[in-house]
Amino acid sequence: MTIIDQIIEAMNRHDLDAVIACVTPDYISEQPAHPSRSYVGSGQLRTNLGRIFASVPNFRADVLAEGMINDEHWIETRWHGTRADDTAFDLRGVMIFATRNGLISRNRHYFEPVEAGTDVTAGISSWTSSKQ
Amino acid sequence: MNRHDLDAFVACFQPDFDSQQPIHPDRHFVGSDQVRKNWTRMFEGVPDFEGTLLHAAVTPDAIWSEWDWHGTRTDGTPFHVAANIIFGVRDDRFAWARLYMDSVETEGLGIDVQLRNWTGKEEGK
Repeated sequence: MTIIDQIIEAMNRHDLDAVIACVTPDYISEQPAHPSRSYVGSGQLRTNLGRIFASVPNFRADVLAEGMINDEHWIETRWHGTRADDTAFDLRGVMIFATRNGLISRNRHYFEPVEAGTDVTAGISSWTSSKQ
Repeated sequence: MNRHDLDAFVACFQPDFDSQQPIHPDRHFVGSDQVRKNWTRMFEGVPDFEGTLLHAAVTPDAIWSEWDWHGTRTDGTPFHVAANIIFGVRDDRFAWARLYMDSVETEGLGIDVQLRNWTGKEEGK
């Protein structure tokens, strides 16, 4: 079982201690589209996942595809469940993990809530026009 | 792409190329004609468009790629998109792709606001 399999399995048990045991204390989280959301430290990861497990009691993470690329482990993943207020929690994206001494030291991710409503033409417009 | 050569660009795709943006299911389309339409608009809207391939690798089932697309829109504002694209290949052309991409925020609100948006709850509540 890889360290990626272990952290996904721990997340699906909602076992925060087991999740945090999979990462280095200086774990780095980066989102290239959202530089302000970067952080360093497994304590912040614990805070974040604790909030998710508390607000999405049936939280589950699925791995849709994966590959080991150079020294990085890439996964396409879906996190889903139902919030306490019955609204859907549904996020998808790609996460790229680096490891050090067998633990996850870095996660660079392209990961967003699933949204309905705009077709591809509107999507291109949202990028090529500054008027959102 | 970086030469803004639409014919050469579209020639990289199968006629029945299937494009999915799992974050935006309504943006699904099939056909290289739509690729041409999209990128015509992209090159017109961002005349100095440039795509930088940050990382890419081949697995048995797919090509995984990480991109930084940047330029300046015709109204002078910056265009900057961070993208991760998983491609399937058939007969040396792209047959399908799953695209995860978003405009890069210049003034984001931080990790706490993101968690509040995702969970619908303030920290500690």
